[in-house]
Amino acid sequence: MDIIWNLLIQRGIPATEVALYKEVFVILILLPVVTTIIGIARYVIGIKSLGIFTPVIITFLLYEFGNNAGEQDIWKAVKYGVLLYTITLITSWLVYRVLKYLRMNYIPKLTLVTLGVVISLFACIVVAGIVGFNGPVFLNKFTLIILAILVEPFVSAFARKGTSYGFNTAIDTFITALFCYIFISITRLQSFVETNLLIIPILIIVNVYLGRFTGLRLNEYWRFRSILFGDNKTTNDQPKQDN
Amino acid sequence: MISLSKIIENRKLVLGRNERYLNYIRPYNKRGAIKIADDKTISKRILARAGIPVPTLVKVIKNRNQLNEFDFSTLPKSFVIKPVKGVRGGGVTIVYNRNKEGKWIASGNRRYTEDDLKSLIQDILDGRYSLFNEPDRALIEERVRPHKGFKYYSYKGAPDIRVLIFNSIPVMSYIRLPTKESDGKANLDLGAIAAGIDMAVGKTTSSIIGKSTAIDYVPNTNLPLSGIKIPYWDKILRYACEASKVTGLGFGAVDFLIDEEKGPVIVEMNARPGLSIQLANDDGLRWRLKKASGIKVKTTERAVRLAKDLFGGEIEEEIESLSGKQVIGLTTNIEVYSLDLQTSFNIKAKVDTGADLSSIDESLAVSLGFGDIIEEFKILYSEASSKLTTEDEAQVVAQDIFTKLKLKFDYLTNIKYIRSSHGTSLRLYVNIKIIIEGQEIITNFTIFDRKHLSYKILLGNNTLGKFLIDPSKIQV
Repeated sequence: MDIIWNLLIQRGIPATEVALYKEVFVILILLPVVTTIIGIARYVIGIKSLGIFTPVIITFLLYEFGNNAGEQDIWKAVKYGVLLYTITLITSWLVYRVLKYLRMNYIPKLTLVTLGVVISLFACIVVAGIVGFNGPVFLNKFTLIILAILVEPFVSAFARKGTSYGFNTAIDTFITALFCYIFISITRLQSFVETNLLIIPILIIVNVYLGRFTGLRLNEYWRFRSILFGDNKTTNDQPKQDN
Repeated sequence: MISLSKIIENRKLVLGRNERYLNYIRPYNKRGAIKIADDKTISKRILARAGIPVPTLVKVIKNRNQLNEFDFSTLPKSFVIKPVKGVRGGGVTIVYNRNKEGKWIASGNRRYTEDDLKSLIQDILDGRYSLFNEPDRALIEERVRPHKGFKYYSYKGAPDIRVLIFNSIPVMSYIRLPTKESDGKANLDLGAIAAGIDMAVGKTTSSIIGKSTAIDYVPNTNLPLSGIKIPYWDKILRYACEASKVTGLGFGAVDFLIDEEKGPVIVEMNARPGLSIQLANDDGLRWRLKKASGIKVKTTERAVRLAKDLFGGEIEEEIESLSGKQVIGLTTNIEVYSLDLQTSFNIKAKVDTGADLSSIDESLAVSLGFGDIIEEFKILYSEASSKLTTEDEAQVVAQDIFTKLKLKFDYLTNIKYIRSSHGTSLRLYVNIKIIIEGQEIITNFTIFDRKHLSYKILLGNNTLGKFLIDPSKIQV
């Protein structure tokens, strides 16, 4: 990667600006890193997440929450993340439950759920400010918008698969995202991708392998435990006569 | 302790989601076939054209205009409303009858007016139950009247039978029984029961309730879930094969309901069958799919034959019914009667087709009441032992002892000069009554000292004529 940075410096771009270019590259290349982790979580471990969009968004939300003057403050990210995510999830479920029995078109219904979530998020920020915890109001405004639009995957999970499935996958999604966030905020990883193009072939190899992976997922070892840990059926092993 | 090698061995049996998609759904289900399976109207038409029974179609409602123009009075007395592209049985309403006020009586004892039905159908049209909330169509078809055979096994709703097919060969099957918990729906996620079916004989084997809990009896009863005979089993297998052929679905599931009059009818086909069927059968799919792949199946009869031969567990039952002979293992529990037939012993006997005659241990024979003859035989034997130098002499001695003993003990059948691995000797033959697998047999035993052998009774060819022997059968 140094060739590119040197090229930029040779073209007369000041070193402070080159740092910004580096930052852009790091944040962009971390996206496929995150999706790779989500892929591993799904195909190797078997964690269900709400699509690929939701965990990615939450990962970078946490990345933004944890931003403390350029450094990553993991504790801060977890604190804000858990609080705001929980509020969004619970409010969207509550409002959805009320609206479930009304016959409504999809988008207006979603809008009402979003309205509920937006109100509760704002109320929470106000209450936090009153009790002397005014951190949330300094968050990037755009992150709050992204957070509020998470109602769409939540509501669609509740609508299609029911409450418990919705909550389970939403929590799994958050845990996956949290893991992704902690992984990408490791400074050593960031400096590795910044200086080393090796990350690209690594990502290609891992994903090609993952794409052809036909093994049992970890949770399937649990799901099929009665067969896997049970007695081998002798009848299955015996070659039966061919007709 | 569970050994790692066993898990690795068992792992080869089980099909997981990754492999299901990459090795089976993708390569074997062409897009056209998936489209047919997903769309109930198309699959119904194709199946009906091929002469496979399906529930009679009443009407397909495609849009709001058709819904408004639809004359609800033309509906039959009992019918089912379904979304054409519904998933997991969502949005299905079963109407049983119409009462005097003109209201329809539906499942769960709900009453519907014409407006209620319209709003239900509108929901379906809006895509509430379809994959990805796409706009959908509503299908109205005649209700299948459930077969009476399952009356005591299922709560309210009708059980459905799923046959998993691969390469046009049925590979695995289960029946889903609605329970009170699942509110009469045959949906495992809601708490229905799934019972695996033996492919050869069409009888249920093991069962689960909900997603994975093993269960032996119908809840709150003492009705066993195993051994339920599925009616029309051969027909079901045949229709499943034919359905996969006409729709081109290489790997998928065919769902049947059993109508009281029509017999099995196909209600749905599924191009992405679930994996819980393995838990219900307590057996993996993977080895079955491997076995079924690469076989060229020309006729439906052959496909059914293959399914039964390859994947039927209790095939011996069939052999029994074919040959009229019972199958026993290499060891079997038998009942041996004493000489006076007053008492009997339960003994584990060894089956040995390499022996011409059955034999019994001396000490056991003594406790059966053969002590007297054995004693007298021994005395006569030792008196004559000096004469036993050549074979001819021995034959004479044997004949001599036999005539002497036969006068006193009429149950004595023979005395023979034997050369065996134990050396040369004279042996005593008597008739004893035994019971093998419920069959009473009076058979000839030779008495000798089997103390150093692990089985006190050995069953030889003279006793085994009424049985077939399966070395893999293990006596419990």
